[in-house]
Order: sequence, then structure tokens, then C-alpha cells
Amino acid sequence: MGSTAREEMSRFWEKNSRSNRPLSPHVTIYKWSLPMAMSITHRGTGVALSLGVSLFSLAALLLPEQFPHYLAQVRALSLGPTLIFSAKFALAFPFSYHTWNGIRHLV
Amino acid sequence: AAAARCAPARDSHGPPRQGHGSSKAASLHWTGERAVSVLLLGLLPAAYLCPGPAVDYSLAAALTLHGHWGLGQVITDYVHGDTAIKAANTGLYVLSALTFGGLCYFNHQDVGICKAVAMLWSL
Repeated sequence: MGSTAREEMSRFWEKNSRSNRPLSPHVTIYKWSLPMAMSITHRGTGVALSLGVSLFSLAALLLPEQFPHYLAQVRALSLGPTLIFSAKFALAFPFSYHTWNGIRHLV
Repeated sequence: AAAARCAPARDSHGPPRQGHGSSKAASLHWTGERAVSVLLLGLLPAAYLCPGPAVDYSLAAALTLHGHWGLGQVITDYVHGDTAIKAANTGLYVLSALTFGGLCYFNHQDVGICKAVAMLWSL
């Protein structure tokens, strides 16, 4: 009867936190590879998108007006097309990256 | 004499098993994660081609669950210590519940996810 992975993981972390050993350098020294970069970007975009959805959701619950009202307000700002395009890109890029890379993970 | 003793020809504990009292929870969770991912992927063209309440609510559910499980993995990777893990996961449950509630509220009271995206992009 062995121990579970969780038990072993806990034991490892408890022992190492107690001994106050310095952490061996990792992200700061290893040469970055494409798979590494793509993987962390996938995670980063995922977290960002998730938080974005949650923020939108909370706004829907808390703000007094409805969506078309706020959209009209933004439209009334008459922002330049460059700014609007950049904003759309800022939304679309993480979404697209995460989606396409996600497909790569699934196949 | 004792050192000359050979190992038994067959493992006396029997054929390899998953382990004592193990459950399939982890592997089912993994499969569930992939299933929801595929579902969410399918909802994207659906949202574009047939916008409406069915897709809106399905998106709310799939998006929230996919995000909940994803953030859960991030917590598992980076948060250590029993109390910290429990606190982080509890916070995550609260966030996900609020997110799902908010999205459903938006679908019910406001224009709905599909319409909102279409309206936003028309800017």
C-alpha cells in the first residue's frame, strides 16, 4: 500500500518550505524554447480570458444600465479607427491564440 | 545463504492495479476537460451561424466550466500548502458561480452573449 501522489507532493513541499533552501534558478537561466513559450502563453491567455469573462459577468450584475446603453456611450466617444481596431485586436488575439493552440492540444 | 535468495518468479501481490483504494476521478476529470473544450469549440461557429438563447446559455455554461477547470489547474500548479489550496479553490468556486450567474442574468435580462459580441464588433 503506497502513498498517494498528493501525500507525496505535500510531504515534499512541507519539508522544503521548512528547510528554507534557496530556490534553484529556472525561468531566469534556461534558454527559452518555442514549446515553452507557447505553453505559458496558452496559460496566460487562458487566465486573461477567464478573468475577462468574469469581469464582464460581474459588470452585468452590478452596473445599472444595459449593454446597448454603454455601447452607445463608447460610440459617442467617437474614438479613432486605429484605436478601435487596436482594441478589437487586443481582444481577438488572445482569444484566437488560445483557441487555435487549444485545438493543437486536443488533437 | 540469505543473500543467495532469489526474487520470486512472479510478483506475489498479483497483477498491476491502479493502487489501493484508487478512484478514476482524476482520469474522468481529464476526459471531462477535453469534452467541454470540444463542446466550447463547437459553440463558436454555432454562435456565429445560429445566435440565440440556446447558444447563449450553452456558451455561458461551457465558458464558465472551461474557465473554472482551467483556473483550477493553475491553482494546483502554483498554490502550495493545505490552507492556501483550500482558500484558493473556495475563491475559485465563488468566482465561477458569480460568473455563471452573471452570464445567465445577461442572457435573460440583456441582449445575450451572441448579440452582444455582434454589437460590440459593429463598433
